[in-house]
Amino acid sequence: MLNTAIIGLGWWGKTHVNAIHGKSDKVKIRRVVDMAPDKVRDFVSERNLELSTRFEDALADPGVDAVVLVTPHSQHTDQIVAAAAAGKHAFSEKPFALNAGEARRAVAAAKKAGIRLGLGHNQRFNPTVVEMKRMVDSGEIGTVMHFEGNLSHDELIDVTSWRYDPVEAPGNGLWHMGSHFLDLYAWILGPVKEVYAQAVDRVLERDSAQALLQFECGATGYIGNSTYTARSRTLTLYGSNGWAKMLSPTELEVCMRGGGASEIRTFEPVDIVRANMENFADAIAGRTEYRFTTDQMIHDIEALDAIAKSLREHRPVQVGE
Amino acid sequence: MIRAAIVGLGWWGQNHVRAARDSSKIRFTRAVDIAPDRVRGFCDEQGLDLTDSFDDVLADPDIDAVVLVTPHSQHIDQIVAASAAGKHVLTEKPFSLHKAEGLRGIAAAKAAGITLGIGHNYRYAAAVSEIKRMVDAGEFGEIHHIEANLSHQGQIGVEGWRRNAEEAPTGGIVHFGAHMIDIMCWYCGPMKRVFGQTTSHIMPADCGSVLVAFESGVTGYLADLMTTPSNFHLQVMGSKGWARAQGWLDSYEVTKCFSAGKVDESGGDIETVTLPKVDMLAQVRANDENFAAACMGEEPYLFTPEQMAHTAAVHEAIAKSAASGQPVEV
Repeated sequence: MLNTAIIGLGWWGKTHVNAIHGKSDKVKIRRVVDMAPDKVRDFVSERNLELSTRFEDALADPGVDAVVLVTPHSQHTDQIVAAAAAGKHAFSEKPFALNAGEARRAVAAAKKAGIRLGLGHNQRFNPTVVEMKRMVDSGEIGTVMHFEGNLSHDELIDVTSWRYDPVEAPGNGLWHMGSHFLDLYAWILGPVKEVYAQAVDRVLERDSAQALLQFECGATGYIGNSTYTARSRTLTLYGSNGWAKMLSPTELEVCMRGGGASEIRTFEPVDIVRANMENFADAIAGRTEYRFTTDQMIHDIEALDAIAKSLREHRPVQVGE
Repeated sequence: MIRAAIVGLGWWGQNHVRAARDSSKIRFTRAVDIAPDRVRGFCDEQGLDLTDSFDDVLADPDIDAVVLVTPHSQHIDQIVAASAAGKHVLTEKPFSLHKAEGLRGIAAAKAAGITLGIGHNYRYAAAVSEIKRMVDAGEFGEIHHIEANLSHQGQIGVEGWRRNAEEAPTGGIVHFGAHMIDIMCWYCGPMKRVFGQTTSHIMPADCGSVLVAFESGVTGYLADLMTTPSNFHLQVMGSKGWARAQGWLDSYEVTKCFSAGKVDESGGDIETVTLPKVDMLAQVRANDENFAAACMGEEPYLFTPEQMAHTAAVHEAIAKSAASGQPVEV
């Protein structure tokens, strides 16, 4: 059993609690930390969780094995470094770090301390995404030509929050929801080589942002995000043998060249937040590999850095230039 | 009723003739093809007077209009010649691949006072028309973004001018992507800047994708793959919600979501509206008849010459961007 402390009980921190608390035989929430305790006292007392206001409280608790950082992006690295120094494993929400230098600093601290790092790109546990990866790895889809996806919602438009800070998220929604697709593309296709991005202000600042990508493997990709529209999720993988399109988290439409009509492959629903956390717990216990490598965690941020640079300079940017 | 000559009787030219059969607006009476022996049977069956000379039909006082189903690079010279002969012209898409050529075409048509048509039949598809209605009615609120992808594998194994690098410098973006460029601009106005990339897998430039900045401030994404099974995606996103058409050329279902704020993980309050189907030939017929009625002054045409010329500028900018690797102003 992995004993965790959830750090940050905003909208998404509560989602973590609700995915794990009383539902997992691998992960236990031992305590929660929030710097504005009055706002979350009811939520915490209903679940009989221990609440405190300082991150250090979790680090000093010998009953805590891992901290789960649901904090602003800019705080992740310092918190990972502090957790490493305290011998705690650290699971970070996405994006992993504010820039690639910070990402490397976090990974170096974790390696030195011998702790494990987790990352909240839970779309890798979406069963339709897992099937897309299987289709690529097995050769079923053929040579991958293009990946296109748009993950948008407006659940945060009424929230005045750090999420809209241009330092925390230079490309707004591309950092929030868009980074999930960036991560899963790179998981399936390998490293990103070049990016071109644009963002415009419509109702809110940078509320419509997109990036075109080129991967080292020769495939291309597109990520779109709007932070001011109804929830929409589209994701299509195009290979030389056919395409696969996510219709919902449990339905993948597949159409192969010469195969006639498309077919719909269906999957059992998965709580992807819990699946990710349990994979993290299993990896710490030595029962399995974790689905993310630290090199991938760093690469995701290198690609976001390139997107930020493209947004500033209005030109295509090589990753790592 | 206008009397028209079909110019170019490849498979698509024949579709124009089939689509207009028994129309009370347009009747094809003559045909031009540079390889007449190949199409003589078709012309006999359809009652078309066949020639291998474009000039013959331009000189024919019994012809009111020509419909050009010829290689893209020939469109503008043929429009200029038809204008000079006082014939109305409907040309297949793309109108042209060069901004200056597009402008030359519409200038000639305007000077001659003839009506110009364009073969973007997709505007007449049920789902595409319905989303246009929603755009005009303001149902999306402030539109942010539009995405379009119309892919198919029909060009695999096909030789001929459509494969030529000059006729299709950006592969599928020129072929079916051209329809999407027209629709994107129909919904969102002129494009200001494009960034295009093409890659080659099974055929040259068989995978193209473009980011667009419109003059209106809307953003766009356009893609076309030439070596994948048929797939269509068209989505408009606005501050009030979004609408999406999927399926294929006869797409008649519009999926939409206008639930503001929190919606459930499965996608929220999504609704799908099913419209009366308008198949591909019916779209071609609708376009040809709208054009014919416009020639006779009976109804406005759905396209303006400026829109046609703008698509030429867009194609040129995308090709320049794909070649240079840099964003290009339209």
